[in-house]
Amino acid sequence: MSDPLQVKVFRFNPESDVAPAFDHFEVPVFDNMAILDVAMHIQNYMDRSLSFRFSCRIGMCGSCAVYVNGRARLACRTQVSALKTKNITIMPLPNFPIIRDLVVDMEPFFEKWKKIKPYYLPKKEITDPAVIRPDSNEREFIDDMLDCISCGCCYSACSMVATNKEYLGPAALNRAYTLIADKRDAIRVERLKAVDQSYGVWRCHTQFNCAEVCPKDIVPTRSIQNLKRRCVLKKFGIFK
Amino acid sequence: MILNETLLPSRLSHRSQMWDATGMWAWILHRITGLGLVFYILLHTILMSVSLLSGKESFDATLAVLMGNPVFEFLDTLLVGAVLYHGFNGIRILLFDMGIGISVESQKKLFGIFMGVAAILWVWSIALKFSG
Amino acid sequence: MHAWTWFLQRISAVILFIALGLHIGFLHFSHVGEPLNYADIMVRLKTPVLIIFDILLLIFGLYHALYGLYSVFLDFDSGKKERIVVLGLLVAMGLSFFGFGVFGLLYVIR
Repeated sequence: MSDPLQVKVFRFNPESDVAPAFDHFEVPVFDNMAILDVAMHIQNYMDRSLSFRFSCRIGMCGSCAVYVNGRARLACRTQVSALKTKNITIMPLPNFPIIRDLVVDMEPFFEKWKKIKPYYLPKKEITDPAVIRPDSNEREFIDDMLDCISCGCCYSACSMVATNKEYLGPAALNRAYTLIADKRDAIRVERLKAVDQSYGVWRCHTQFNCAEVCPKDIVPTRSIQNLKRRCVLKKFGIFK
Repeated sequence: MILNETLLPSRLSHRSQMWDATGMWAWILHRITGLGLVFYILLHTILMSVSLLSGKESFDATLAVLMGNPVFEFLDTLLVGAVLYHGFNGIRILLFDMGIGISVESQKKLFGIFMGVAAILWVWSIALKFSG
Repeated sequence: MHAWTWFLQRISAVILFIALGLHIGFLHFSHVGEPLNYADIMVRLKTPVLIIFDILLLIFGLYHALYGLYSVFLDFDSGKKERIVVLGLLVAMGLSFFGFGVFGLLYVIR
C-alpha cells in the first residue's frame, strides 16, 4: 500500500471554465483511508479550490454522495482499499445538474421528494399512542425502508430518472411507501394518488440499480412494487 | 450558472458499473426482444392474412419458402429465442409484481434459473428442427 | 387509468405465455419436415374453438405489444400533446391490425 493513488477528479467552475475537465492528483495512502479522506487531502495540500460536500463523516447525513469508479457511493463510507485499484476517478453524481466540481444541485431531487408529502400526518381522531403488536405484520417492511438519508445515490443510478425528467425516482417513491403503508397516517389515499401517475410508480421497470447502490441497503424496488399492487387493488375497491 | 448534466456522459472516463448489473441487462434485453417481437407480430399478422386471402396456390408457395428456406429457418430460431427470453424474463417480472424475490441477490438468482430453463427449451427447439 | 392498463398488460402476459406456447408448438414444430399447407390450415380454421383462440391471441398479442411500445415512449420526456398523438396512433394501429387480421381470418373460412 505504499504506492500513491492516481486520482482523477472532475473539475468545473462555471465562473472561470468553458468546459469540464479532469485534474490528476497523486495522493498518498494511509490505512483505512476513505474517498472523503482523498478529497480532503487534495483540498488541504494540493488544490484549495476543489469543491465537495460532506458533513457527518459517518454515513448518516447523506451529504457526501459522489460517483467513484463507475458507481454512486458515500465518500465517507467508501474505503479506498475496497476499490481494489490505485486508479480512482471521482465525479459528481449523474442525473443532477452540476453546480461546481463535485457539488450537484439537489433541488430536482427534493422537489420530487416534496411532491409525495414526505412527512407523517396523524389521523385527528387518534389521541393515544398506536398499539402495534410486533408479530402483527401491520408494519409490513416499512421499518427496513426508513433508513433513507436522502443521499441521492439511488436517484443517480436510476436509468428511468436519466431518461425522464418528471419521474419521481426511487427515493421519493420509497418514502411514499413508508407512509402509504402506515395505517396511522391520515392522507394515505392522497399519497397513493400522487404516485399512481405515469411519472410515478409506473415508470419503474425493476432494474434494481437503486438497490445495488443504496448505502443503507434499502431496496426501493420492493417499495415501488408494493405501491403498484396497492394502486391496482385500489381500483378494485381494496385499500389496506 | 448550473451546468446541464447532459454534458457528463461523453466525458465518462471510467466505465459505469451499471453495465455489470444483471438487472440492468435483463431489462435491456427484455426491451430489445420486445421491440423485435412487436415488429414481428405486425409483420406476421399482415403476411398471414394476405397469404390466406391470395388463395391456395399462393399461400402454399409462401409457406414453402417460409418453412423450408434455411434463411427463414434461422430467423425462426432467433424468433423462438426472443420469445423464450421475453417470456421467461417476463415470468421473473411477474414474480416481482407479486412481491416475490425482490432483493439484489435473489433477482439475480431468479434470472439465472429462468434463463437456464429458457436455454434448455431453446436448444430443444433447435434440435427438433434439425430432426425433421 | 395506468393501474388498469398495467394490470391488463400482466394478464395478457400470462395468457400469451400459455397461448403462444401452444401456437408456436403446434404450428412451428408439429409439422417438422413438410411445410404447412392451405388444406391443413383450412381444417384448423373451420374449428370454432380454434378461431376464437386465434382471435383472442391476436387481441392479447396486439394489446401487450402496443402497451409495451407506449411504455417505451413514456420512459422518455414528452409533452401532453405528443402523448395524446402517440396514444392515438397506437390505438389506431391496434384497431386496424386487429380488423385486418380478423377480416382475413373470417373471409377465408366463409
